[in-house]
Amino acid sequence: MESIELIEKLSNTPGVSGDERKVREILKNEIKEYAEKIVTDPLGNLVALKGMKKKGPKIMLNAHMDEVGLIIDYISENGFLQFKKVGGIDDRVLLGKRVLIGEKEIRGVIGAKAIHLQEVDERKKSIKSTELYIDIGAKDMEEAESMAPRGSFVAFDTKFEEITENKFVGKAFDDRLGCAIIVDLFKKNYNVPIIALFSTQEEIGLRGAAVGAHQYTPDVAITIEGTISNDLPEVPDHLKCSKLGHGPVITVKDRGVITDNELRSKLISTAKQNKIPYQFKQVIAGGTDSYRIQTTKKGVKVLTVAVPVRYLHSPVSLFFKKDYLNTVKLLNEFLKKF
Amino acid sequence: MENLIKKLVYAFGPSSKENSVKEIIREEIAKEVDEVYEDNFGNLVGHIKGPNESLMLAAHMDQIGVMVTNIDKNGFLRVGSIGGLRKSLLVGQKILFEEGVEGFVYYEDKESPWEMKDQKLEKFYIDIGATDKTSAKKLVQIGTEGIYKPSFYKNGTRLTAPALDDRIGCAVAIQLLKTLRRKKIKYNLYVVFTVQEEIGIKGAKVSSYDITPDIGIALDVTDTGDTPESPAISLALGKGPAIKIMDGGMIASKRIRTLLIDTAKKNKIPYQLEVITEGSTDAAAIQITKTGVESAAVSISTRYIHTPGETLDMTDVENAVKLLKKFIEK
Repeated sequence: MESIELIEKLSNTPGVSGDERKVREILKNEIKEYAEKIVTDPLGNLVALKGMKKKGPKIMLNAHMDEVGLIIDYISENGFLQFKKVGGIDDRVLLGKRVLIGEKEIRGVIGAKAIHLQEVDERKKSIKSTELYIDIGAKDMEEAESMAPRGSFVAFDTKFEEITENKFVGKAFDDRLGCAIIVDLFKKNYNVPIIALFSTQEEIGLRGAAVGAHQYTPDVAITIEGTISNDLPEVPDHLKCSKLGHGPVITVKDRGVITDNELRSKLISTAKQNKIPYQFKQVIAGGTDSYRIQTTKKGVKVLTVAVPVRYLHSPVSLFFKKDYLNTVKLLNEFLKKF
Repeated sequence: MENLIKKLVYAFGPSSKENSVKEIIREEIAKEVDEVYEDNFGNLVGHIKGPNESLMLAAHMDQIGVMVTNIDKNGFLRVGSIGGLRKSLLVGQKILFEEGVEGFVYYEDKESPWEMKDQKLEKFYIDIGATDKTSAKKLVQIGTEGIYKPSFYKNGTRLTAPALDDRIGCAVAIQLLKTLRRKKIKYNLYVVFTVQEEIGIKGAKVSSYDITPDIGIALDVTDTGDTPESPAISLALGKGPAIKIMDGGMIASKRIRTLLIDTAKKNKIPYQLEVITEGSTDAAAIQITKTGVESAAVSISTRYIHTPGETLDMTDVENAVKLLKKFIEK
């Protein structure tokens, strides 16, 4: 499958933290013919192995399957669904959005009082997520419970689309872009053992990766992400974090790790030799699975490389195809060096 | 010992760039141990082989600092923090980057250029005397680390220097190795100089997985309650090494801390008991390795932790060495 087709499929699929099954199935089907062994561990992480008898350092490529979303925790007598957030979501992006609920992907909309009925004061403040509800058009609690039972996970209902040439919008680019990159790389052959880890529950505390590197522990782990671009008007340069169109984003330090100094130098020289644009993550923010993987057992050397994405953790994000392709290219050239 | 401490606090060693500190220590302890090695994560281990229970002592080599995140067109730097930097105390300080580049920290504020109002790190910048981006990039890159410019001042028994957290723990461990009588050591002793403590107690975590000791003891600094209007902490400079009961990350093993207290009493070494509710040390990570390790800590009371003015009392340091020596020897 072409990269973009796969990204489309992954982006359109719901996979909120703790409910990654559908994403896992897609990924499993994509890579099974290339893997020597493929396992799903008790936390739902998908691990695929390739070239394990080869010499050289064992390299893990890891990305998380889950996305931020909501979970239904209460249903009112008249059939409205209340929810809690799963992962970091800005309350202000929720209002008026379409959502998909549960296994059956029941459609709903996040509603609130119509503007006509609001007092002047109400219009001025943003509504908290706890005051919002999801409407599935159910007539009462019983009907709602049968369609979208409490405990159902809720994902944004956003259709993946090319808005202008090679510029795409959709949801869950954090971290389905990373998942797609690993699929691209896993299909190629390298001189070293490759361990692919598609982790679960990253958005609620890096939980899948807390055990994900334990069974097959690598020497080096590369976390592949969709990361924050804050390259918006009025933002000073030092707070932009990363910029779309400027190539893969290399992390020196985030809130979880300082990436391995020697390997990072090697990655940068790979980019220079192959004339691949790259940029650094310029705000020390966020944390990734590398935080957990780095201190697994006797320790793992880690790197983090990401595709820059605008409007992360919201119902709709935006990325450039060339950043995606340059990230694949950089990692491919880097892996060839081992 | 004073010269050793001085050498250690002048070494450049923010988290993940501990090499200069490591080389000093390697040289100091090489003759005092059976083997000295560096593990894959960068921890330096001095090992004195013994037949019995294994004891891991841990002192961290790294210090807090800043990291360059942006260089603007006029050559001013923006930075993020490495470890628990006290951001409001950063303005007005001198920062030393690798390769001897020095910078001065100031702040942007159109409305209040004389007295700082907005104490946000994103409002701070560092002037390294560069005239533009190109000349700045010859000296530093995005990702270059900086530390508080080293200094060392002694008045009587009191020492003031940045990075005493935790070069003083390193100094205690080195001095201990120099004074231990080999034949009397009752443990299989691993003295680990750890990396990346300040950014999440990482070195100790992987080292204790590797070694899996029976007992772990961290050597680090701790807060005091002996300054004007300070919070209620029952620790003071000069009252002896602090035997940890509890901190923000662990409750020390009752057996080990009692052994330490009994050792101090028996040998008439002054000691204090440490109970703090915030902050932690390598021992917190060692304690929960694999199926668990009996862990404790011996701390040096230090004022103004994570500032350039970290201040402690040398008698506490000397008594910490004595206490550990008596604990380890038969």
